[in-house]
Order: sequence, then C-alpha cells, then structure tokens
Amino acid sequence: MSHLLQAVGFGLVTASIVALAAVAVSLQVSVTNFFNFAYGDFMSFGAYVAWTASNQGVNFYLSVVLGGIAVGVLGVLANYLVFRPFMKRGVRPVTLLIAGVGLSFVVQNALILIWTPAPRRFSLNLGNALHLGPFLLTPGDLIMIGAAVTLLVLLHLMLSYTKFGKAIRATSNNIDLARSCGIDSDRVISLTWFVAGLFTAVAGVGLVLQESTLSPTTGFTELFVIFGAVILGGIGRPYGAMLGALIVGVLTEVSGAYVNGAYKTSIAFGVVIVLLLFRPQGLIKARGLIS
Amino acid sequence: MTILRAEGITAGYDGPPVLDDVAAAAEPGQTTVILGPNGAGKSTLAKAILGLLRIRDGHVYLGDSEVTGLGPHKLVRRGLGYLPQLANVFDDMSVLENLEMGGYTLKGDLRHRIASVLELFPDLGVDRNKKAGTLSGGQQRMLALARLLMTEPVAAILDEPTAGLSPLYAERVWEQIDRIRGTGVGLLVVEQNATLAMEHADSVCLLAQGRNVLSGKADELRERAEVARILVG
Amino acid sequence: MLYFITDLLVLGCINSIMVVGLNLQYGYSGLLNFAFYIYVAIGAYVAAITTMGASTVPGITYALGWTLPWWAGVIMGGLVAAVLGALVFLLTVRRLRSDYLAIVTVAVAFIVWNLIDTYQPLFDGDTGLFNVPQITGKANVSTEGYSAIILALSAGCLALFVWVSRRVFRSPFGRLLRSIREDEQVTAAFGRVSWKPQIAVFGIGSFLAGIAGGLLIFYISAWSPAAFLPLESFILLAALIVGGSGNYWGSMLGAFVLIEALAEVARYVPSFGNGANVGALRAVIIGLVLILTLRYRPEGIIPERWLKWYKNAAPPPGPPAQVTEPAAANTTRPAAATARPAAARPAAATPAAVPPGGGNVLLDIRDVVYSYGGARAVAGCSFSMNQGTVTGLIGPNGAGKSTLVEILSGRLAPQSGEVVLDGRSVGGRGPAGMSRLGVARTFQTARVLSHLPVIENVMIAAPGQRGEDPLAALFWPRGWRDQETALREEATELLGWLGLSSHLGQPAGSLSGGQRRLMEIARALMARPRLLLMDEPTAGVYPETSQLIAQRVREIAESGVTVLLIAHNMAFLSWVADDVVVMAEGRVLTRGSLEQAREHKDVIAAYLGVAAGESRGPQAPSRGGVT
Repeated sequence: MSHLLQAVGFGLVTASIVALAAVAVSLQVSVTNFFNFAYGDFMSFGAYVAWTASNQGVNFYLSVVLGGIAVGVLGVLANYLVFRPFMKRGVRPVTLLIAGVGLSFVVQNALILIWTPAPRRFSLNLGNALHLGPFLLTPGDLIMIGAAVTLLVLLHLMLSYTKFGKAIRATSNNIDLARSCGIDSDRVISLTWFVAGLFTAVAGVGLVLQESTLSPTTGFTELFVIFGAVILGGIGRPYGAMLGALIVGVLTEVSGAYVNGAYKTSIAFGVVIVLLLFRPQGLIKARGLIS
Repeated sequence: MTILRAEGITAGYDGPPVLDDVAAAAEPGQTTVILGPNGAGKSTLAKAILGLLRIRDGHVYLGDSEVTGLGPHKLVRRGLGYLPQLANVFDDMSVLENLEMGGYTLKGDLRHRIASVLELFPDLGVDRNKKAGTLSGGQQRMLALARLLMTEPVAAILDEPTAGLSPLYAERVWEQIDRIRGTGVGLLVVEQNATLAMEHADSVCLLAQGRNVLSGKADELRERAEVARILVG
Repeated sequence: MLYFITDLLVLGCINSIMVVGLNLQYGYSGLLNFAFYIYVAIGAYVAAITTMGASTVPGITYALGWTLPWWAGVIMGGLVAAVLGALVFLLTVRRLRSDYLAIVTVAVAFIVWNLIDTYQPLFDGDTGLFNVPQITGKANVSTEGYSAIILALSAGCLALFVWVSRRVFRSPFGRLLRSIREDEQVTAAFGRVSWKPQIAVFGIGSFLAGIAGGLLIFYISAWSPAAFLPLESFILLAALIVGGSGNYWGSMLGAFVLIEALAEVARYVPSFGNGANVGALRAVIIGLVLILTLRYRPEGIIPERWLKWYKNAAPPPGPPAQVTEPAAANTTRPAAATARPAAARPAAATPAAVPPGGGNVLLDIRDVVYSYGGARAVAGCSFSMNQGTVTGLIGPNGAGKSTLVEILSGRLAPQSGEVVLDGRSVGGRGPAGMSRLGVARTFQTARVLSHLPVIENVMIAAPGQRGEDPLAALFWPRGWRDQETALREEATELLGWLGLSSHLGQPAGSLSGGQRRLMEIARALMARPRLLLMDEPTAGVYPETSQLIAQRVREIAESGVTVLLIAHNMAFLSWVADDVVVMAEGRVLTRGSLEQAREHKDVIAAYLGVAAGESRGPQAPSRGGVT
C-alpha cells in the first residue's frame, strides 16, 4: 500500500510537469485550433538552453528563465514562419499536422547536430528524499510542484484579471467577434505562443531533472502523455488540461509501479488511442474542435 | 447631414455582382432600415460597408472621412459599431467581461462606462456575472447591443437584430434600438421582419435583386402596397 | 563502383515499393498512416521467422522458427501485414477525422515498436535478428552477384506493383477513392459507403509494405528495432509528398531522390564528428524540404493533374452538340429547345414508367417534424408531389425549407411524421440509402470535387459501377471496361446538353459558379434519379445561365423525373415551376400557382413579418426561435 502511495507521490511530480506542458498546449490550441506536433522537441530545446547556461555558470533559476525565453521565441517564429502562412491559406488539418511533424524532426535533429546525441547529465542536488506523510519526495520534487502551482496560479490570474488575458479568452472563444472589438488577433496569437513557450521550457527542465539526464528525444517521448492530458481535459480548455494532467500523471506513475517500466510510455500512447476513439471530447466538454 | 453613407456600392462573390450601384445612409439619431426579399443583398450590403467583403466599386463615408473597406477591427476605433447576425457574444465569458471586451479599445478604467451602458440595460446588470452562453437568445442580443455601445460609436450597423427571437423579445430589442437612437447614434439596420422594422424606422431603403428600388421616409412608405409586393418577390 | 550503384538501385527499388504502397493509402485515398513502416517491419520479421529455422544460438529467442522457402516467407510477410492493416483500419479509421487518425497511427507505431523492442520472445527484442539466410541458400554467391539477384527481384516486384497502382488508378475503384478523398459527404450523397474501398486500399498498401520488408531483410540479412524507428514512416511520407502524391511516378521520384540521393549526398558531406550527425542532418533537410514543399508546391514535383490520364480524361470536343444559350433579359418562358438526349444506356430498372404529371404520387410528406435543440425548424409539414412535376418551395428565411430538403435527401431523419416515396416509408435512411432509392440533389453552395476533372465529377454519380469493386478492378477488367465507356459517353452527352462540352477535362475547381451549378445538374442526372432536389440552383448565376437551367429542368421533368426546388427568384420560378408550396415557420402555408401565392394574404404577411403584439395569421404558433 505504501508502495502505491509513494507512486502517487511521484505521480504528483509528473503531473506538475505534464500540467505545465498540457496547459501550454491547450492554450495554444484554443486560439489556433490545431496541435503542434513539435511541442515535445520544444521542451527538449528549452532544457538544452537551460543546461548550457547552467554549465556556463549562470544561476540555475536564471538559466530556466533563459530557456523559457528561448522556447517562447522559438514558438513565435514557428507560428510566423510555418503555421500562420498555412492557416492564412486555409488548408486541411492534416496538412498542419504533417507540417508539425516536419518541424518536430527539424528541431529534434537540429538538437542532435548542435549538442550531439550523447545524453547529458543535468541534475540539481538539493538533498535527499524526505518522508512527507505517505510520500517520498526530494526537495527538488517539491520545488517542481511548487513552481508548477505558482506558474499555473499566475496564468489563471492573468487570464481572469488582465486585459491581455481576457483578450486571449475572447480570441479563443470567437475570433471574428474579438477582431470586431478591436483586438489584434495576430498579436494575441503570437503572444500566446510565447507564453506557451515559457511554460513548455519549464516543463522540459522539470522533465530532465526527474531523470537527471538530457537527450534529444527527452521531450518527444513525453509528447503523448501530454496529448493524453490535453485530450482528457477537453481540447482547447486550459483548466481541463490541469485536471487531465493530474489524472494522467498519477496514472502513469501508478501503472509504472506494477508494470515493467519499459512499457510506461506505451501505456500513455494507448490511453491517447482509447480517448480519441471513444471519448474525444474529454471529461469536460471540448469546444468545437471535434467534428 | 448623414453620419454614415454608402454610395455606388457594387460588390459580390464569384459571378455576377450581388450588389449593383447601391446607396444607403443613416443620420445621427435616426434609424434607417434596409429591407428586401431573400437574395436582395441586404446582408451583403452590411458586409460590404464593414469591409468584410471586397468592394468592386463605391465608397463608404463615416462623417467626413472615407472608410471604404477598412474592416470592423479598424472601424471600431473610428466609431462605427457592428452587431453581427450570428455568434455575437463571447459565450464563455461573463456579461461583465463581454462589456469589457466591447471597451477594449478604450483607455483607462472602464467601470464608469460600463455603469452608464448598464443603465440602458437594467436586466443585464442583474446578470452581470453570469456566463453569456447561459443567457437566453433575447438576452444575448441585448448583451451584444450593450457591448457595441461601450465605445460610444457615432454610428452602428445591426445585421438582423431580431432574427430568431420571439415577437415579444423582438419588440423589446427594437425598444432598446430606439433608446440607442435617442442617444444620437446613427443606425443602419438590416431586417427581415419588415412590418416591425417599419414601425420603428425613420427611413427605409428597399433593395431587390441587388439594386435600390425604393427609398424614403418610413412614414410615407409604410402603407404603400408596392412595398409588400417587392418584399414577396 | 558497380556494387555501389547496384546497392543504390536495390534500395531505391525497395523504397519505391514502400512509397508506392503509401501512395495507395495517402495519395489515392487521403488516409494518413504514420504506422506504415511498422508494416514493413512486420513483413521483414515474418519473412525471417518463417524461413530462418529455430534459433541455435543461446540467448536468442524468436517466435515460430519455421523453414519455408524464401518466397513463401516474403509473401507471408505481405499477407500478415495486409491483414493487420485491415484490422487496424477497422478499429480506427472508421471513427476518426483525418488528423486524429494520424495521431492514432503514430501512437500505434510507437506501441508496436515498444512491444517488439522490449518483449524478447517475439522477435528477440532490441537485439533483433541477424544472419538471416540468403535467398540463394547454401550456394556460394559473391556480394555483387547477390545484390544483382535482389535487384532483379526488387525491380520485378516494383514493376508489378506499379502495374497494380496503375490499374487501381484508372479504374472506377480508383475514381471512387479519389472522390472520397476530395469530399466524402458528396460521395455519400451518391450512394457510396467509404469504408469498404478504403479498407481494401489499406490492405493492399500494407501488403506492399510487407513485401518490401521481406525483400529488405533478405538483402541486408539483419533487422532490429533500430531499423524501423518512427522516423522512417515520416521519411516515406515526405518522399511521397515531395515527389508528388497521387501518382506512382511521383512516388518513385520521391523515393529515389529524397531517400536515396539525399542519403548518398549526406555521406559525402564532411563528417562533423560521428555517424549520428549525418543521419540528423539528413532528417533536418528532409523536414525543411517537406515544409517548403507543403507551403510552395503542395502537389509535389509531379502533380496528379500532369498525368496523361487527366489530359486524356475527356474525349476531344466532338461535333457541336452545344446548346445555344437563349438571349438575355427574356422574361417569357423560353421555348423548349433540344430535348434531353436519349439515354445511351438501356432503360433504367425503375418501376414502370408513368406518363409525366399523370396523377401518380411519387412523394408524400406527412406531418414531418424536426427540431434543432429547442428550435423547431420543421413543425408538421405535409404536402405531396406528382411524378414528373416541378414544384417550387418558397417562403421567408427560417421557414424550414432547407431543413426539409436535408430530410428528403436523407442527411437528417424526421423526428416525427413520415416521408413516403413511391409508396414506401423512407425516413432515416441516410444519404446513401436515399440515393439508392433514386433521390439526387444539388447543394445550396455547389459542391464539386475540385481537383478532379469535370467528367470524373459527373461519372462518380452513376450507380452500379462494377469496376468499383477492388477485385474486379484489378483482375477482371473485361467485366467493366464496356460499362465504363458507356458511362463516359453518357457523361459527355449530359455535360454537352448543359453547355459544358469544352470543360470536360478541366479540374472542377476552375469552373465558375454558374458552370458548377450546371455540372451539379449533370451529376445529379447521372444518378438516374426519380426525385431531384435542388437548393437555390440559380443563386449567384448570370441571367442567361438561369434561363438555361430553367429550360433544362423542364425537360428533365418531361422525361419523368420529379423535381422539388427551393428558389427565391420569382422570374426563374415562373419559367420552371408547375406550382409552388409556400412554407413559413416550419409549416405549409398554402399551395398553388405562383401568382396565387404572391397575392395570398397570409403569404404576404409571412414575408412581411409580424408587427408588435400581433399574432400571426391562422397558425399563431409559439416559436422557440429559429434563425
């Protein structure tokens, strides 16, 4: 039993990481209506930037911020150079997906070229694991959970109380009406990609720290776990994505405790298949993207 | 002195022009309704004036300046409001937030402005924190009208504001439109329900097959038999 | 050097087989299958484990371990892949929209890969199989010689599969696939179910994948999960798209250029460190080329429409069977011009022909009700139509006219009430079912298959095409070639009758709005309907074309087809309709001649709208609100 609870504890850490990424994806999907397949690699990119900075002696937290900015910029560029031209032309959703897959391969392999495929060590040793009730967590884990919660709360505040956050919600709800109100939807979309990029980078760093190794495929293998969370929570619903992340995070860790660890990712992939086949609208009704 | 004026509008999609040399105008504090049978081009005219559709020929003036083809995004800053026929509220956002979005282009604290607008729409004030998607069709229409007033436009185009509403609510919407008219806004209203529209209109612009066939004061045209004939087609 | 070229050619051929297979699935049918390479892997593994014999090396396990001859192994590999492909299709494709399907196939690819990589007893996990015996058995063959043998084998298989591809493409089966790819709903509106042809093409494509896998494993004598990472499927897809999807020349070009040539070029780039970099550079280049292709030349290097097939799709414009379009601004009903061409095919197998307008009731609508959510669009609508008549359906916006047409065409099922067609109750059959009962329609916004030539757009509608069955298409052309020629002639005649003779081979997307409407009429007629539903057939059309359409519709009715059309243009209605049904608020308000309707008090009131506090005419319904 304690084994199970410990797994739940690890699940909370995974959930934090997944939540950040899933919320980022959901936010971006809510204003642009398609999945960016390259998100996993964005996560890896952020982690690499943070690692490089950290290796140069930059303060750890500052490195993470730098990683965040790097991915934010990457997201804006990807939107501007790749996705937006397609969307302006009006293409089938499949085409955007293929373009996203193309981007994923470009980014992932660019990472290999720049940083070589050799796995890097990236860890933050803040002390040993502590027993907190039934859970067994390191200070690093706690910081991760704390960071995720903080960022998500900040996002919530932004979406609920700031003019820009409301503009995002308006754009995702009804882009034509938003434009009629004078909202510059292109700018809103660009900035949404930037914010999503920030969150993605932090998630990427968290992911790497969990395993203490960083390799070019780190983010990509996590991609489907993230997709699972997004779909579960209702595509295009950032708040739903938080719930989805919690469920998916805990579920993967718990199942990983009972099944051969090598199959953990397959389980995530399987969950996504089942979801798309039987409940594509998620637990909370998704908005208009399922046809 | 008209506040909103469209002249010589020729526009359409693929094929023959839907609108051929059409004119329409609204004066400050007056309502001009645009009527016509199906396929006459009423909605197309509204879209052409708003720049949602490429105009092949013609001009649109707001006050003294030309605003041909600008698009609602820019027109809202110039003082031209727009009530679209469908999807005219942010259904995921609260009534209050809808109004805030209406006032997006305004600087400073919006609370004052929101309070003034809500004075014209007391029912909305009661529901201010409710999500717009949970309101009834008629209430949503009211919210859309309130939203467009946030920027204190000098003129507004309303595209079938009573479409799909019960007769009771349709009349209520028209009463609101009259109140808005009373604040000095010049209104151009595209309508399907001609009878009700003509009861509230100051001027009528009747279109058929993409052309102006009859224009004039509503008082004069109200009883003319040919209006009925034209509307049936 | 010779060996180097041979090696290049062998891999080029094998990769071409794969891309041709993928082309069948994606290029011809629009089904995106990211798990494609898994089928290649399965083909390879099955070929190995059915021919290698049991493992004699300790620590290495794999299933089966039979010792069939090599060619049996390869074929088995193809068959297993085909069966698995069909299975996956049945479970997934039928339920998902295109981009979600793609995501699912990525997931499937990964899961299978993970399974094979981890579960040792299956295919020896991540170590993989090696020392796969050569097809020449114990004979002592040089490396070059062996390569040559495999080259001959691969080239032969490639030629065979290109032939298969070609057969499929040129058959009604291929046309059906293209039609589904372009617009599934329109294809369904003409009676076709999508999943049957799609599952066939999924199976065939997977078969090709499996064969390629078998050839590959016998060539390189080893196989492991490292050889079939998800990346490989993506590279095949990129090759397909860049080369030109939808045609096998494009597939081969993509395979040779993108996969092979690029791999070779990458080899000569000064290496920067280690082998992985070459592969990574290759992937980056492929990714960029793909994105650029999608953006600037989405049809690929060799687009589908360049194929001679398309240029020859239509017979050259023959002697002028052209109809001279009537003079403009003519308000009187145009005199009947050319009669509808006699059917090139034998009389349709429909119930005994009745003289037009001869009192035989074809369609009876009884109290039909349909609501969208809370709003009643059709609120108890009843009327009937005699065979061979043209009835106009008019009324103000929101009266329920379009909804009624959707119900009659089968897209919506009446929530209460009945639709009786020729004595048979037909509610809820769906568009395919209604189409088979002889109901055809045109759409409010003309829906054409933009990338296909006009004549194909029309031919797709003819029912009972024997060549649409995949087996017949491949193995028994004699059974459908004659029918195909007859259909082509009929389509040509119909299009000529509608003034489109000089546009037969053009992609339908290049037609003007009026021309599209004319094409839709030809298409609907090709389906040999008893009941023709038209939704605003003259919206956005020049007056001369409007008159032509009126003329043709009258001739169609004279030949026994019953026509119901929604229209707003009173002049058009006066030319074409025998009488009109006026709908308002979901009900029939009145029925009679157009003149009677226009003078009718309640009709005028309906069009004018209700004043404040007034109740509406005789009905006075309480509306929930309908737009």
